[in-house]
Amino acid sequence: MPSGTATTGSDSVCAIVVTFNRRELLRGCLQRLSAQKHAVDRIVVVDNASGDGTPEMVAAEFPDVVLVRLPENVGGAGGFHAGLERGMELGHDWLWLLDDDTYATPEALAALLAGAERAPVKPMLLASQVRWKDESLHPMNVSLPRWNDLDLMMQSAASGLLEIRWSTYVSVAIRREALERYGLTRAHYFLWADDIEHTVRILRNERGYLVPESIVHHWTETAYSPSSEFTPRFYYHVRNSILTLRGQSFAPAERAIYLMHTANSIIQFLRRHGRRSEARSIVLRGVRDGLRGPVQ
Amino acid sequence: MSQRVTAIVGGTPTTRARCVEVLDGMSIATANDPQSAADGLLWFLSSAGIPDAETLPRLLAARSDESAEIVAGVAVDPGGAVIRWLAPTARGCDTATMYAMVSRSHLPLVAAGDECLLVPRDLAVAAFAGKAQRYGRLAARVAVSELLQEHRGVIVPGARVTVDPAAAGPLKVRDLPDGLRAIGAGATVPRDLLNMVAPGLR
Repeated sequence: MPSGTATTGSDSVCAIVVTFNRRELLRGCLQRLSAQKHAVDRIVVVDNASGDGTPEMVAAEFPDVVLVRLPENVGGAGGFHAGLERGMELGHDWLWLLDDDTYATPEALAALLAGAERAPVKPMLLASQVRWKDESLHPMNVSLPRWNDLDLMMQSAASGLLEIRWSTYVSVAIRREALERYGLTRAHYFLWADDIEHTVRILRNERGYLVPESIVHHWTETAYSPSSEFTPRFYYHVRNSILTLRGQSFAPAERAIYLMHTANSIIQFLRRHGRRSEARSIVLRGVRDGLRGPVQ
Repeated sequence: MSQRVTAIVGGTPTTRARCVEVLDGMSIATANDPQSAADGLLWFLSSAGIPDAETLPRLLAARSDESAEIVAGVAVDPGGAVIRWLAPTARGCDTATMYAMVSRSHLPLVAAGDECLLVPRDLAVAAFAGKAQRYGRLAARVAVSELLQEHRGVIVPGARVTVDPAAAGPLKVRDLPDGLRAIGAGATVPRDLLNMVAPGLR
């Protein structure tokens, strides 16, 4: 079993933030990244063709930030794909992914890296605890524990870590080596579930941990989950979940669990919003395109 | 130790004798059953697992840190691997509680047997009474399940006892009636049930 003490003390970290027309939230995000107790080596902001002055704000107020300006909005998935490419070109060891409405506490990065040092098995991915404004856990960003490996679950818990099977991009650090081995975010997912597919793909054969002391706040207006609010974005949740199920990222038994998870979210969405014909249409289109669309 | 601890050791005569010898070396008293034990805490070692020197101190520290009445350690085989059918589980616990406990190197206790279990005597006497006749090898699971309805429980992953898996094997199909009664009583025994229905299936 390889040790987790893999030179994290000198590893360089590149934070990658994807944004679209949320200048004020992004400002808050970057201020907090700049105030990390363990300094971030570089910050890359991927701008999805914002029209609200976001690029200008970044250039004026955060001149050290590397700004990647995309010609069109390619969604969170496309943005993170571009950001990861840039972060790897720049040669960093860890790529720390955050949404533009993620407010990291000052110890968030230091805690992640400390988690890597004490991990029982070399981690390819480290996730933060994601809270909402009121300090409750954000329902959108709960990492799934890996329950089926009891030995590592117990070892990691004894080390103050929770071994996980998937996470979201609201504060997850991915080791460069994992990206070289398992690839980047699937850009065509556009929005939602791209992070789950990517982390599931990496962690099928590798280890990743949630570090409880690493805390970030996901500064959304409400503490929503994919199915709790009516939004056309639910189409992407349905489509992308089915695409993920069709791929190879899950082991067969896990696929059954994720299928139930997906089915449950669809049922919840239809229960809440099914009286709207648009809601049913969103689900049907998502299922259709998930079954027909390209997996990779 | 602020409270007296008495070990209740199970196992075969051979494994029990070895376990008692180790406990003697740690100056830990033993008793045959909860009723005959002194007041204080009971440390169940139903498979006569051999504790490390740090096992009991870790259980006691977790009891204090987590304000928990029910404290479970982990049974491992001589190679150090967790024995699945004897393992306590946190599966199904509240996520926020889990994060908080993991940060202190613990897990919330959702279900456990009595391979390494620390419980106040007064609670144990009431919870375990009459269970063995009705639930066989699942008796402790039912007792722990009842206790957890009223009391906080914690798993201490770093508190280990080494068990001979040959002497404490997985449940067999003949244990199925006990298992079903245990489930009917509200105990969480998914892995045991899995092994009953399909022995060897993981």
